[in-house]
Amino acid sequence: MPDTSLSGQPLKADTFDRSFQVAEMSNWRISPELSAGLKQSLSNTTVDQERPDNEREFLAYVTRPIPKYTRHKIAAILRPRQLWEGTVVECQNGSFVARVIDRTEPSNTDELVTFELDEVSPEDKKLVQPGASFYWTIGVERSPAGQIQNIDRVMFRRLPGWRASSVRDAEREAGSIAELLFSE
Amino acid sequence: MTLATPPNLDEFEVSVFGPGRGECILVHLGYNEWCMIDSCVGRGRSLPAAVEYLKELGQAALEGVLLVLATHWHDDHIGGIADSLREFTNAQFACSTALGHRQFLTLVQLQGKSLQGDSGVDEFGEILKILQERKQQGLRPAKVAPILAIQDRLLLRRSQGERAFPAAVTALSPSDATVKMALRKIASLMPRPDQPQRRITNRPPNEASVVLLIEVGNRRALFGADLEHSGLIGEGWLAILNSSQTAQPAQVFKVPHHGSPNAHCSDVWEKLLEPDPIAILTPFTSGKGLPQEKDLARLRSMTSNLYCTAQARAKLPKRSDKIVEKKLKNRTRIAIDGTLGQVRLRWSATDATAVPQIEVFNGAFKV
Repeated sequence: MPDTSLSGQPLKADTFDRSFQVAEMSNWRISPELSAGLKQSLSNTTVDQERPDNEREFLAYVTRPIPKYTRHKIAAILRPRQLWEGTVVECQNGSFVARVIDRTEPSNTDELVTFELDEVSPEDKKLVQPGASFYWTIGVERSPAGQIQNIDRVMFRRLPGWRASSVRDAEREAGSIAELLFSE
Repeated sequence: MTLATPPNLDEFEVSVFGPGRGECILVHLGYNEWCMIDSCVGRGRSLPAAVEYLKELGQAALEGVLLVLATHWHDDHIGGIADSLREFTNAQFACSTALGHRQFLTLVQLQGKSLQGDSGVDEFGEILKILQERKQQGLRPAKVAPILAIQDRLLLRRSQGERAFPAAVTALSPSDATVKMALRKIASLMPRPDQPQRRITNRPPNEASVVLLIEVGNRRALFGADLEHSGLIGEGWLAILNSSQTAQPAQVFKVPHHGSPNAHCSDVWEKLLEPDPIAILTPFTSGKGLPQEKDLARLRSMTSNLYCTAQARAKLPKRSDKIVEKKLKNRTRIAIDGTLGQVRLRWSATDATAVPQIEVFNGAFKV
């Protein structure tokens, strides 16, 4: 049994996503006029799987519908406009300074940026130490319910702790190197 | 004279590059023999600045590098130093005695196992790999083993019998006392079991930096690295001033620690340098930035020949996305890496009456 649109017409594969969103909107009991308008506007939109270059395509991308078969598995969809990788350099009272590397446009200069500790989620605050690594994202997040939100988020990486065996291995390797290179 | 014109065989050259990712000094010792001090890579460039420059001068210049020295392990000094050493197949590696210690080697090996990379310690890890490869290729141990620099140690010498004028590279630091202090600080960086992995950030010891005196014929240059002036006997610049080694004053000075007041020592200008020396500095574009205006005023009072490779403040990049730009407006941000400039000094090593030729490239300027 093929999927059908609201009007009952069979869906082409490439219009499945767009029609799904309209159907989803209809379930929220929005007016038939708005539903029709959305259907019209979305049917004129190209959804690109690559990161889009311009604002119109970007918005189309983040508002694209979630296919039915994956929807229940996804908590939220985050589309970064800009992504940095940061390393904490200095902790101050209520804030911290980090060196950030632009991962969206790597040719940009690195920057030192000051963040407020309140921008970090409570469970991540204990991770804020010199040398700790995080991702800083400015972008758009779509909730499972379809709400769109501009976000500016700092998420710390939870790297594994050092094992005693790793430290022992490093000491042994250092001994071999010292023997090889520094003993003569 | 263009950038790609090689120096004459009897010409002493000092080229200072910075800031980029790191900073770098190339010294022509005469007869197409070179020494590289620290390393830097320009933003968006794949090759270290010294490699790019020497390639411009020709293959012979690349093969003429005899010594690659890391003054200390901080990221703002040794970006791309491992890549440089790989290119300079005839070069020996030198570093502070503190960095040849087993504790630092352990830190380097541990960092190699970390999921967190991209620090000065990783550059050292790459260097150790290159040296091990060279050893396995059968190079003479004396050519492979790193030269460990400590106060008053001669690192390289070309005597007058081999050529028309001598050349020597001598380490003036670190002193014994500062090596011990540096080792204590390195020990404090060693992670404990179960401690989360973190990147090793730039923190002291600057005091274990290697200061060099390079003498080529009639010319002498003092390279200050990041050595600080603590005012304590046996440490920093006082350890050098109180050394029994009596060197003739230098005519060229690489200003230490980006012109920071914590590296300034008036006695260095009075006792180790000739009056009105040629002074070159590289800016540090992080934090409040160095040199500050008052630092430049202080340095200008010491010499009328002050050159800087770039402006201390780099421009923040503009993002094409308007929403991103709007969000960033509320942030306190400082651009770290600026334009990589070059100050080049060329001076006859044999003609005592010759005047130095100083050129500036890519945004470098006379202060």
